[in-house]
Amino acid sequence: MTRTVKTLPTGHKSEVEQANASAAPSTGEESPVVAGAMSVATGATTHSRLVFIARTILLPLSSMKLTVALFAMAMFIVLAGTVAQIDKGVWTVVRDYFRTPIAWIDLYIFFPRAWNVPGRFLFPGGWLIGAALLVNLICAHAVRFKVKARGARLIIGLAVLAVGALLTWMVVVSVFDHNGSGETLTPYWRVTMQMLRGGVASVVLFAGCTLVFYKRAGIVLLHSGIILMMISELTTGLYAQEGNIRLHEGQGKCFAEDIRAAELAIVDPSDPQIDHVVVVPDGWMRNGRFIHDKRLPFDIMVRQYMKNSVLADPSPDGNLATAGAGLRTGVQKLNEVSGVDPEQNVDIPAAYMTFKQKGSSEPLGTYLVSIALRPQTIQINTPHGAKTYEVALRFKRRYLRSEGSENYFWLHLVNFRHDKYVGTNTPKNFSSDVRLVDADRNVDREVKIWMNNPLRYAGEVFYQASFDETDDRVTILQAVRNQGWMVPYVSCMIVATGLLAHFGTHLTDFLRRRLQS
Amino acid sequence: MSARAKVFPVIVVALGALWLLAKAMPVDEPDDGMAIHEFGRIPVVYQGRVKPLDTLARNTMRVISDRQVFYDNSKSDPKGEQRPAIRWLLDVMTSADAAREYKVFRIVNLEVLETLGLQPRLKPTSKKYRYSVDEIASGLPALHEQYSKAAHLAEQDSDLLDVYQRHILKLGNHWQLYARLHNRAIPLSVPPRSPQEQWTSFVQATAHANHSGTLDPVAASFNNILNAYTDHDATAFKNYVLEHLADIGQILGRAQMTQAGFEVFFNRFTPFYHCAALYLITFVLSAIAWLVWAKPLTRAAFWLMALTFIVHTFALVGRIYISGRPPVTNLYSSATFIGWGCVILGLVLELIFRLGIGNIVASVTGFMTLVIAHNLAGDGDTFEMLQAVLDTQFWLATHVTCVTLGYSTTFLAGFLGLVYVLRGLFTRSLSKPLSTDLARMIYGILCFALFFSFIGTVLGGLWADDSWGRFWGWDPKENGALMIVLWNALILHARWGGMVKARGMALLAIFGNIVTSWSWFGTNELGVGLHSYGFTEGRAFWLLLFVASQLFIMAIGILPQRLWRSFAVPPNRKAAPDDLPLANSVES
Repeated sequence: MTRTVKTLPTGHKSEVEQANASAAPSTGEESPVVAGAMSVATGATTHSRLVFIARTILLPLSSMKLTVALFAMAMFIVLAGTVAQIDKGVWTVVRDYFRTPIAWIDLYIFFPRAWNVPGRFLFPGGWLIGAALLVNLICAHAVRFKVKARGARLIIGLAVLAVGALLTWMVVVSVFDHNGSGETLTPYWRVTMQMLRGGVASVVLFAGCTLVFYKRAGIVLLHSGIILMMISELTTGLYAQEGNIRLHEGQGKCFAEDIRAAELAIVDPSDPQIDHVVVVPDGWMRNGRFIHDKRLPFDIMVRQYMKNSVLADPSPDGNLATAGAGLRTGVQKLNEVSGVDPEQNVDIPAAYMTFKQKGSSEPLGTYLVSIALRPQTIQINTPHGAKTYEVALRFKRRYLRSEGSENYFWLHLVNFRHDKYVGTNTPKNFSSDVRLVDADRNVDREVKIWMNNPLRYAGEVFYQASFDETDDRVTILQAVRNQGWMVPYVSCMIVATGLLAHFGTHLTDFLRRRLQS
Repeated sequence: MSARAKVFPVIVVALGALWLLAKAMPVDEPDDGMAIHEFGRIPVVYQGRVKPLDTLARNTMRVISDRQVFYDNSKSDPKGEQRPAIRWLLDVMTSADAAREYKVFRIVNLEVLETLGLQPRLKPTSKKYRYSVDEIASGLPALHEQYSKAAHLAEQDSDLLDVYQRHILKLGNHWQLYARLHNRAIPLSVPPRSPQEQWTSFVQATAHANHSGTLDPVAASFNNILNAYTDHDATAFKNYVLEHLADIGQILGRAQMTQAGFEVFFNRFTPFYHCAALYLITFVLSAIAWLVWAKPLTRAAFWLMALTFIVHTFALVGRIYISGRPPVTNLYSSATFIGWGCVILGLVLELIFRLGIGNIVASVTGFMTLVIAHNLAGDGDTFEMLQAVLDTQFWLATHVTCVTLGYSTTFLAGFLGLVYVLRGLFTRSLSKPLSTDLARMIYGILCFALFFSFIGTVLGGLWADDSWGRFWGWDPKENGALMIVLWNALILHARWGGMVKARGMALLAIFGNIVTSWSWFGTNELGVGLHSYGFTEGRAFWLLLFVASQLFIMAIGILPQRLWRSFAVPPNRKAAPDDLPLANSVES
């Protein structure tokens, strides 16, 4: 059976995040234009005006004092984002401290929790500090790092730089990766090869930098590596997608679940060929919120939403639920799972929701929905007669589809193996034999996924992430979609080359002087 | 240079080498002629690893008794005669009466002692707070009752346990460990005959024999050994042990047997202990060199440290050979490796600058890290097995080694900063050229620190990307490493921008000690994640104390320079104009 999915636009929260994020690269991109204009312009009046602009705007922005202050602020926000994880989940912290322009920092996170220190203060968030560092760095290069080469040397240098940039780009988009996956290589070789590719690109870039910038080549190179790395973290934060695939032996799935987010799925199973699904993102689920949308078969009133919960007996002081599973089962609200929790449990969201006949205030009943509960059925009256829907709160799904395909591809777990060290419960290794089926591409083959040996297919990477401690026939795979996954490898090599060159020259100069004296 | 000054370093190094050689020599068999040290070489499996019985005995003793030896109840000497751990293990396994009287269970909680009906024992010191099986036996029902209560609570929420309950649980676990050894339920002593089979314990092997009628020959010979020991038949004991070793060698192969033999030697030699002692001596020599006889003492300290460094390196290589893994796999080994990194850089600094400062910082950091390692070893086997995600040789060899070297170098810069502040404040020895040289050292080491911490941190991200597709996850340990990188970058940029000079850089480098110790230990205190290697009570206290001491030194370091003895104008001399702002004039 195939499925089509209509998804409502994501909640307000993520829209806000995207708006914030777009501020960072745009401020960063203006500076090189100014910098380029500065070195190119030759006309006397424009030249002096540009110099004036450069002096008044670029100089303060390029200040090294600003760099140091920003480093200190970055350290502080990282520290705050670390100690905040004692109470909050790591992804909440990432959202509130790092992937945000402004962070509200609670004072209590720095003190023993028993003291109950009140109050909070505003602080620049990770994205603002990162953007400021980027601007600072680019301005510094515009002002302080003069192009020293002239004539033929400059042209050759720029050409070599262009080749290096092209190579870097090719490595990032994995042009050299004919195989499409590294399954056949040992982890050792696979990673070494990836780093070597980055290394080749960075050596070419270094040669270009040396031609253009002479002795400061190393520092220019390492700074550009840092810029690349920061942009990569920004785009990862914006576009990379992660999800879990939990499979029992014999089971197949065509979607990954994001265990950091929930969605309310309303399924219309009336079509024998296709399930029609409409989902409501968890960003919409706030206490007291009324959800009305033309794509939904009924209106929804969110009575109570719990980010983390556990099933319990129904509350003796009056049960909110008037229909469905909530009549027999209650729910207990729990604190969000902490980022430093040793068990690394996941949050189990739950909610009480009242469903209403569309356009009337007539309630269809108040239901308890939870990740831990099965789908429940709701019947509504339509002009064509009664119609039944299935309703479930579930982890946010991302369906797997290769580019241009109409249908999803599937992963079926054939066999899961998991070895322990002799006489202990410490896991030594685990591996999943998985059947990969993509009907549109004529793919039907068995692959093995194990620790540090992921499967790469159709822009997705499937990793052996975990296992179920209670059931040794269950595997947990992680599906990641991140086009820029090679960028950190390349930027690491670029920075390493730059650091080696820069400090290497320092060291050899120093030792030579020392030996002479 | 006088002949005495030339010969002195040679004598010091020769003495050090002789001492080490003496410690490496094999020990004699005990008075009763039992070949207990041969017995200690028998390979068994416990906690997921093939190891000699000697290691098992020492680790178990360290867990329950907090040391690797015990004192026999000798009538003539109230202190008792010191005996090796393997003797205790043999006596326990053979249910010897003597084993019930050895005072080995360390109980320090007074309430727990009261529960057991025991008095706090303070004398003799060899048996301080240590109790025998017989002494505890009468209180066992009470221990059992309290243990189940505490265990029940621990299942629900271990954070709610109070100190008493924690100690009850600890003692209960020690008792179970003892009981299982006594019943021969651990270790797994019978190797598999085919790849499908697993190692089994002696009890399992005998149970299997009751079922099938034939006892595995290895189990049979193990039984013979224990019987011969019970019968005090030294000759038979030795023959059975050798026979048993040969049998097991047939199954495990020579490489594994040689490795087990080496591990026994390694246990006895305790190279890290001797290194710590020699680092301490080096420190004393270099400290005295500040007062008198500077040159010969400094040279002696340097060469003694070079000798110690060789032993330290040997110890690290030995651990690599035993575990088959890169040098850093857990908190214990990170401490030994951080020390190693500090010492080699200290030696290099000494070779370049020849000021005695390299000796000082290397010996202090070497000694301190080995003491820390010693205290981290209390949890048992220092070669514990790794969780599946962490078990990738390539990443252990690159990322972990790099990050640990990042810790080493940042600490070394911090200790150089301490030398700067302490010598400048309290002595007159921080002259202008010395201040310049110290600033150069700090600067150079910081460059290394930035390199290693940056590359190490990024490699960690790449490991995460390779394992589960996420380059950066904002995990506390990752954040800690990032903070070291940021701090080192901050100091270097402050220096390049002319915001700090020699003194400022020294003070900032001292703060680097705090940042590094936060990353090394502090992040583990937050909770136990994938990166955390363990949690031990009291570690947070030492961490806070260290942080406070560093902050204190930074605070006195910002005292006005006229209060610094090195910079103050001597009372008997008029200030020359270019004499005054010494530290400020240092800028290269």
